[in-house]
Amino acid sequence: MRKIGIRLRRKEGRENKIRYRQSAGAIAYEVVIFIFLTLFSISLVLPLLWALMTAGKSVMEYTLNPFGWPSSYDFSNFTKAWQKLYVVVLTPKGMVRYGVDAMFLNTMILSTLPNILTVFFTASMAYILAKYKFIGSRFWHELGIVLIILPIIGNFPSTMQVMKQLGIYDNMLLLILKAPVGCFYGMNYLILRAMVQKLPDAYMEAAQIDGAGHFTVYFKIMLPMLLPTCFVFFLLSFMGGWGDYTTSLYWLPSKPTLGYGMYIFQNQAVQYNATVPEILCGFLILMIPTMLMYLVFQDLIISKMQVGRLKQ
Amino acid sequence: MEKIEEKDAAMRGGILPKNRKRGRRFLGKKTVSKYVFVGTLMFYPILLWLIFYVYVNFNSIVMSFQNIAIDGKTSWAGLSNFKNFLAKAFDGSDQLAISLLNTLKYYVLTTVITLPIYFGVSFYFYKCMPASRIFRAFMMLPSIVSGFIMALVFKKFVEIGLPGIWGGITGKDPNLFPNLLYDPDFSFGTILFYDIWLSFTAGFIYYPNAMRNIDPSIVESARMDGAGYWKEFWHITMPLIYPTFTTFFVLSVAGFFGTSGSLLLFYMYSAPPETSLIGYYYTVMVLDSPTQTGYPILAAGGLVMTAIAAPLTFLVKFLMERYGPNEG
Repeated sequence: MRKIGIRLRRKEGRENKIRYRQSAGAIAYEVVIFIFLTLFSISLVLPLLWALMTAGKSVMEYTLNPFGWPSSYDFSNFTKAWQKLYVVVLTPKGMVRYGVDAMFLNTMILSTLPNILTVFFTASMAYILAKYKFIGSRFWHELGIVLIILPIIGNFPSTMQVMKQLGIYDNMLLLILKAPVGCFYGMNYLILRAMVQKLPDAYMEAAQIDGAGHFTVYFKIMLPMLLPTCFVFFLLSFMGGWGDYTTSLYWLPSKPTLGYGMYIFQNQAVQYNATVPEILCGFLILMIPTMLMYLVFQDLIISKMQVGRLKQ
Repeated sequence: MEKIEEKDAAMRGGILPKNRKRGRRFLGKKTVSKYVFVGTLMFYPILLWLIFYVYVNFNSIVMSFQNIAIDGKTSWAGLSNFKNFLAKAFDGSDQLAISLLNTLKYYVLTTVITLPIYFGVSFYFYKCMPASRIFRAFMMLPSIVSGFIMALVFKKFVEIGLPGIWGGITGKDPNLFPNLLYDPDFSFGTILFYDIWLSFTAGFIYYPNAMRNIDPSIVESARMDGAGYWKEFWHITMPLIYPTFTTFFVLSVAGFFGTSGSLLLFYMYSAPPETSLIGYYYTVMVLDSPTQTGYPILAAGGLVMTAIAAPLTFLVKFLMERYGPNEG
């Protein structure tokens, strides 16, 4: 097959993207992947679009035309969802009803505080193990690498038992304080460590020569340089935690989050007398903060997601 | 030379006295401050690790040799929990055996299907082929859109949309169309499809980012030598992103036995038996049980599975690093 070595496009700063129109096979590859991605993107957007359309339908309209456009958008479904979305949980004080506002508060707390702690300690461990040589530094780093790939299976029963023994089960404060466990053996640690290694030592040395202590160097010079990546990790954890239902399901049953409320709401819709449009309104309400955050920070998020080798 | 040594020692956190003997470390003020800093920041994460990793796993090992009564009292069980677990694992009709087999099928099919697609699409993004920037923006949607919406919509589509489409095409009654999420012949495949569908997005982000680190001059010289896409991908791109691929592949092997898919999302505690995965099985056995009497068998099973998965994971890592392509 004759290959035509014509440089079609070369843009500033995008040297890797040199493409040549080559054989029919290469063209076929582009077409096939393009079609696949088009279909895949449509399949990702369609659920959202369907949720938006359905959220504005009446029950009758949804029953008769579940996949069509609403004849008129009924915003009252959002109000109904807000009123119907509640969870009744058993607490030490008895049965307590949690409405959207209380679940929203729990969600804010559990999406923010644990993630701030985790990101801070991950950055700290990455910095210490990358920049400091001390007794055991190499051990802790290599242990972290081993722990990332060492599979420990079936310790959920033991974890549940220990959490109950230590009083962490169903205790929000202790659960938040427990969050940084694993901060030196996760993917975020590896990414941050790689970033710390690229930070020039000259900054540290210059500051130390000027009399700065280790804490000053870290908090005033190095940590601010890691902040963009730390912020991305926080954002991703926040977005993941916003819709999380497993924390309340597993560990914090008396402090339901919005995610847990929606999980119960849609699984027990008959009990709540909730219709599909109302359920979807609830989901959309849940989704708004994360959508806004992604729209604002998408370039930053995608650019920081790089993974390298598990080095020992 | 002496001044350089003193400066060097000062930077490392210790001041050398003039009458020091060679090779002996002196614990100066700066060394102490260094260890105070390191200790302060490391103390809390290590304490958490000791409690929630070391102690929890130690407790799991101990639990696997116990019986736990309804009132919570424990007694020595010897190896009976291991025997019971293995008996259930090889009893084809037991839910545990079904879950293990399903997990193996799930893992193999997911890997075989997703890997070629990851690389094919990632290379497309890396080359900035038509509309790649737009497509990349869509890849983040599952991270943003609540998993509930994706699951609920998928559920409704399967329950209402597909039968309607099928009825429209064939002219038959849509009620005759099987419920793909609950029909024993289709439920496992449906869950597998859903999980693969949503799993694409992560691979479509990490691999292109790894490819972007490739030196453009290597690509350019290959092109000048007449290399097409396939040769470039196989001889340049793949070897250079091999470390990233190894990382993800090894982690997937490590997470093999922990797979629970999206079963909890679709079914809560009532997944059809033919869809059950081992991670889901463990979750339901713990969360849906009013007592801890079943915990010891689960702990024993966890040890057995760890004993299989841990060496396997390290073996895979070793083989991939030993026999994989060299970056040079």
